[in-house]
Amino acid sequence: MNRLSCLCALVVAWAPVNAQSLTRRVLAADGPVQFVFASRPGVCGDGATFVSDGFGGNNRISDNGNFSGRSRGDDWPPCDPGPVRVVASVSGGEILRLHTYAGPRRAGDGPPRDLGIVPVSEAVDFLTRTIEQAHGRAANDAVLPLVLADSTAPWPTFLRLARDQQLPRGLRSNVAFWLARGAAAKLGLTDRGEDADDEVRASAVFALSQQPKGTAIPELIEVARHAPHPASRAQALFWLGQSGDPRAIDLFDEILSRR
Amino acid sequence: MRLRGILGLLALAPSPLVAQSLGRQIDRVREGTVRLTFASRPGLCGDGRETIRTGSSFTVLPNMYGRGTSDMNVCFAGPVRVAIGRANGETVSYRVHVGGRWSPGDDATDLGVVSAPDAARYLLDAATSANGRNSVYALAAAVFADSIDLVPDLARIARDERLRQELRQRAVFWIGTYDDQTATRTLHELASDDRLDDDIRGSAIIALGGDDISDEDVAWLQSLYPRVSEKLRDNIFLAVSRSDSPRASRWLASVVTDDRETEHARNQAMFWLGQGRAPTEDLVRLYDRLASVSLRKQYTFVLSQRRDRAALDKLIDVAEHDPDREVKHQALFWLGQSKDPRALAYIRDLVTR
Repeated sequence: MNRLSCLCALVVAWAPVNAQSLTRRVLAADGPVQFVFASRPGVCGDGATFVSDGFGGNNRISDNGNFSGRSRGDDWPPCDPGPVRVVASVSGGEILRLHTYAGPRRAGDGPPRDLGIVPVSEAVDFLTRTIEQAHGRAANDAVLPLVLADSTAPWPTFLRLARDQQLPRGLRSNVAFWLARGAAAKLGLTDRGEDADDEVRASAVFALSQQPKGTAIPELIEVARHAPHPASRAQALFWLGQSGDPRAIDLFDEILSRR
Repeated sequence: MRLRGILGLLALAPSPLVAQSLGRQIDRVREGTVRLTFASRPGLCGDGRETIRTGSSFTVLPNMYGRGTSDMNVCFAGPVRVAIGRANGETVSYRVHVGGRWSPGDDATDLGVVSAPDAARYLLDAATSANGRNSVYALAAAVFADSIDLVPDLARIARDERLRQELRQRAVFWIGTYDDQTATRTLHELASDDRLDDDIRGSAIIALGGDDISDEDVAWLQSLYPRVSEKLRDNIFLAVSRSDSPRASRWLASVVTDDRETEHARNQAMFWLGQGRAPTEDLVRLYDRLASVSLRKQYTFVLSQRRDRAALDKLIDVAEHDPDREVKHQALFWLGQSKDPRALAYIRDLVTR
């Protein structure tokens, strides 16, 4: 019985200890280091140049591995499901950048220092800490892999971050982009229309977003809630995400909290 | 009675102070500020600080000058006031004001009211020898003086390649503020002189294009158009667009729709047609003659800059009916920039219909 209690205590203690240990292991030496964790169903990529977030549509996220650009197109190589691979650049005990990949691992991918597969919970904890504590670009870089992680919803964390006026605007904007994307996915909307008129309507939704904020935000919320065309609703959510307006964050909260 | 007559004669005769040249009086001050005041040209007014207006031309010294409306609430006709800063026996600064008065109580050397032509001559010389902003101030002060025709001197400055380009272009601008035939003829000579560089010639073309540009000048610029560079053609569009004559807008529209013109020229002509004084109806009619997609995209921008009801109606019409998707997108983009509630209503309808 005593022995069983000890085991329980060890199990309870395991998660935070390991989360800390991932941070410690990442920061153990300067230079690049990678770790891998399970991705959410639908997430895919080519393991090297682009990822797809699995929220629908043909959007791929790619910018030579930095994933700051988002483009649309059909002439991409196949998108294969696979785990998330994060490569961290460490210097002087600080994380400078994170590069995220998804899809099949290929021989020779990644740096020599490889921490192998880590539990999702450990990765999520590490990435959340990085967003909250890292300076500069690493905090932004940590947002995408959190979105791709399996069996976890980043939205409560993202909602908190989006409302935190102390955080840098760029980080809040990045988080708001993903909240908008998550909200559209939750409603089953994609921003890729089925007919030619959808493209004209996309321009119209953008035009709405260009109105003065006092006009644009209520109009976009109205479109996001009630427009008859799913693509228009998704685009309205996108532009609401770009606005970073508190009313937009409240809408995302409402949508993402629905059961 | 006799004594009064003698006093009168004495007053008319040059005093010893007046007999000294203005330059020598200024040079006598080695340190400090010298002030002089002289009569300004008719029609000139200022806010007592840096902004001065004459007709539709205005300048905010030292950097801004041009034509158009200004938001000056008050503009005092009044003497030109020049403050000349001196250090080590050299002139180190000029400041120029029209209207207002000197603030009392400082220790400047005030030469009082001086002859406007004398001041103009002194300041014109100073403009060609001073550096940087000082030359701009001195030239402006000279040009503001009453009772002297400086057009030939300004033309000489404009043509003098040893002088700074900025000063030469300012000289051309100031020629345009003289409302007489000599000034117009001088501008024609400068604009058509292919020994001069395009900046000076362009300044002369623009100087011709005031709100009061005559039909003769419009015709003259049209005749100049085939013989000049693309850059000067752009300047001609600008100058002609200032005319409210139907002839001017017809000519600009003819360039827009002429297949033999370059795309650049057609775009520029349309831009200036939109920016100018042609009625919006002329712009609206132009649409049916625009075959090229790139011209129609530019057309949506030109319409958007009009900010009147007819232009907005046409912009909505283009967004709704143009056969090209890119033109529609462009029209919608510019509708999105509009604050007109009808633009918002149309966009809303398009999204929700």
